[in-house]
Amino acid sequence: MTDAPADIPLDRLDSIGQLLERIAEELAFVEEGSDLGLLPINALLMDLEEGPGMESLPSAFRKSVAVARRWLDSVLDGSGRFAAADITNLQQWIDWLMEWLAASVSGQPTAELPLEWSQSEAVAVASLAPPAIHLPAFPAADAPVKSDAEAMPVAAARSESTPIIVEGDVATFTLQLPKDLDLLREFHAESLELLESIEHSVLALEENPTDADAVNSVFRVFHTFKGSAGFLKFDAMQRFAHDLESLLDAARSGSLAVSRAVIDAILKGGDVLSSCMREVGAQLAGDRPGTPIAVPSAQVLEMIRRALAPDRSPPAVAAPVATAPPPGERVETAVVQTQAPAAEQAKSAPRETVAASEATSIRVDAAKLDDMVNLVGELVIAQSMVIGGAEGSQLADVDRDQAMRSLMRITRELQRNATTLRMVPVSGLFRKMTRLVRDLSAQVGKQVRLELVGEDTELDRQLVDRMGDPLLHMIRNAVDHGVELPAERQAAGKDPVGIVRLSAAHESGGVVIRVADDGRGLDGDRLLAKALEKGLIKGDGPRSLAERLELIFLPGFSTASAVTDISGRGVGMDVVRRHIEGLRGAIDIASTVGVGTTFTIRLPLTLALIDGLLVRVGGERYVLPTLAVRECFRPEPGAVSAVHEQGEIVNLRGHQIPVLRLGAYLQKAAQSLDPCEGILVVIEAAGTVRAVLVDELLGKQDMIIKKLGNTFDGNPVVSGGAVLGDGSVGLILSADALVRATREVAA
Amino acid sequence: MSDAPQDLAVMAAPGRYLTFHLGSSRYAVSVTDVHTVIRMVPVTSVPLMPAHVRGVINLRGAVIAVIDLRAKFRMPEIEYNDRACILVFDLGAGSAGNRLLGVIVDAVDDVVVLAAGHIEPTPDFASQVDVRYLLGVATVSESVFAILNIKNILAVDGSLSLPSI
Repeated sequence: MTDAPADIPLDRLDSIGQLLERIAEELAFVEEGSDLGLLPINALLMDLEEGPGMESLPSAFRKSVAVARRWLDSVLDGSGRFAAADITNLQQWIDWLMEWLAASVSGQPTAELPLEWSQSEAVAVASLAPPAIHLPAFPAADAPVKSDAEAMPVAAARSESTPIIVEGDVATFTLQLPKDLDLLREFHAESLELLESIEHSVLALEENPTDADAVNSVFRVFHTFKGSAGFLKFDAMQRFAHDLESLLDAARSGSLAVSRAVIDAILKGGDVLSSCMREVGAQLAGDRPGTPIAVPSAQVLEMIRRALAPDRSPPAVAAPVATAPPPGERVETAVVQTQAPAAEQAKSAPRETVAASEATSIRVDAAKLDDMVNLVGELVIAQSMVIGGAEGSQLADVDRDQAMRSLMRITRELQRNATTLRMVPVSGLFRKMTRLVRDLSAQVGKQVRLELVGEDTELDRQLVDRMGDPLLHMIRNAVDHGVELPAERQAAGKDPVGIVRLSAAHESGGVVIRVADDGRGLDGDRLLAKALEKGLIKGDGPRSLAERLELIFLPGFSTASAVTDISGRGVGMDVVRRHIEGLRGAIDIASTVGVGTTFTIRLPLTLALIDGLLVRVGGERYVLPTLAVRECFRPEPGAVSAVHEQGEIVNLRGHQIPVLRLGAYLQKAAQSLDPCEGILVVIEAAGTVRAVLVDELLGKQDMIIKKLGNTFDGNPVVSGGAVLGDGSVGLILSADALVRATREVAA
Repeated sequence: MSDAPQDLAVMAAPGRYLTFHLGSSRYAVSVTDVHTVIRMVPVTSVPLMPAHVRGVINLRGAVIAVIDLRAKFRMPEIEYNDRACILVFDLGAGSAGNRLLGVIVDAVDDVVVLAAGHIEPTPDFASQVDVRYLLGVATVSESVFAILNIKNILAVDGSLSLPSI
């Protein structure tokens, strides 16, 4: 078989050549009886398999890659170590491919695939036809699934309440903790990313079942899991991942159409793997190390089996019951063994907590690290120039000035660079919401499409992790309360499919996240009536719509007339607001009846830095978060008036704003007894605006936030410290506390 | 860390102790608790805190709380001179977030080695110093030192919270 070499683009050949060279390099280190190089070769081979335009490459090449894949899989599935024959085979393979490549590049006719390879290939293809599924070897395993109609709903219902399904055949694996610690950490960190990507791909797949990229990427995830699990001797997980991989392989080869059943099986499989990895994570963190970890695969295996053979009646496994040991007993013992960890798991993993994946190590773009190293190099040079200039005075003043300037520039860049190291895109966070919307809308019988905008927006990793719960809650609200039922929407002349839009963007030095739905919107009158009814407010209540909408942030307020399973968990928007303000952010609401509701969350770029306004009160300096500052001004004489027993009020463009004398509040002497000698800083937090009287504004700068430690946990007003230019500590005041303080002073 | 220091029977172990004084009273603390000793520096006062929480300082980039031991022991306030020091105590990794705490003292004197024979149980005397704060009394070359239970001093009163285990 000779192929026309001209068909292949040269750059494609180039990239193949590079991959082959790297494989050859790895091969050189492979030893018999060792697993050294196995995973790198596996990864490189995957790159080779998934390169662009694979279909258009000559069949000899594709077959040869398939051959290597088969060899490598047999090593991965088997002992996990190279045998002498494997090494010889792979070496011959790489030699052949190198020749093929050289011939292709120079336009020569290419050699044929060695006969024994293609033969074994044919055998393999034949044996692959019904994808091999490791069914549980345990005789009683199939007992629970004997009756389809009953078993499935039961299992499904159970899986809602506990992440681990206790079935008859729960296989377990155990961590070799001290020995594999580093490997396990790496595997754990990697797996979190992999599992996230599953959901993303699957949802893409749901929209377009023929999306080959999505199928490949899910396949790759399960394949990597299989490889790593085999490497770490997690047999149970390896087998399970292999079964999932087989399912995807069938989809990849086109022998299986991606149906709803397939997608459900993949998602459930991903859930099982993530529950295992959560347990691995807990044990890595020192939580009851060495306990066997269950891989509750039965339900998923059954789903896979059905997906692969939708027409086939359930396998007649019940027949040999008479000869098998009494299934009931066996099942029971297995359940008893595994129930304890399962129950603990359910307890330790709070339901629907997306922030669980807070990793202690993070991945950093290599380019960012390189920049950093270069900057440090420059810093050292600049420093020696400055020191040289100061000591020997060989340098002229001009040179010293220049050295100083470059030192400043480098320091600034280094700081900026260091900040970006902590930044990650919000896409991971957003993707989790896709899954939530999918599950939730099905549960409440609504049709909802989630639109994601600005997924590439970068944010401090800590913020991304901690925004999980509030976002989850708000999306849940949007789907459960915001978007109407399809019939209702049609009656209102809307598209039956509701849209929830989650967007992120950089705005004015921070990040803005918006959650918008096109649902029924919030009715200001009803909110007011409800707040009055619940006794949350007294008197007439606010008049304007904006102020009435603010009512939903009051503790104890819930808009759902019936507490549903989904939203009514006792967590209200007041908790969301507190949480976001704890991240030095702010949340606002806008809503129009019949058109929809939009929540706008403003967050700082990072928690490590604060954009602070440095103010002086008497002899003390304080930092106010600029994010909360609306404006600063020196009041005209007479603008501030004392209201009897209500404190002072300043008139700002027709609005009456209560004044807080910072010095008096903090029990420090202030200079400005007359407000006209000081400056009023207008701050806004929790939807309330207040004017804070200080003596002087000293400047505005980015400051590194330092924790004050738990000595000051009880302090109502100080939220942290910042090291100032002169090395002393400036206290950061919480805008929220100042706003509340005015209220107390006024009351 | 355990509740043990609450027990009055706890006695100081023999070992090396750092001694300092407040006015005419002499005190000793185990050197294993001391992280570092620095000269008195300007302290940023934190509003709305008890009088003995003097404020915070920047210790090589970390912000740590500083306690005024005179105020804590209800001794008269003085103007600290250039002999005044801040003893920085390391409260151990067990206390989340608040590992280092500074304590202002009039002056640091010496490091002494206390043998078991030097250390006696706290006498039941009614002094201004609470007996919970003491691990015993040591007599070395005719000087008497009160051995301080620094972890208790920094933990009780609810003003400084070490996590209770």
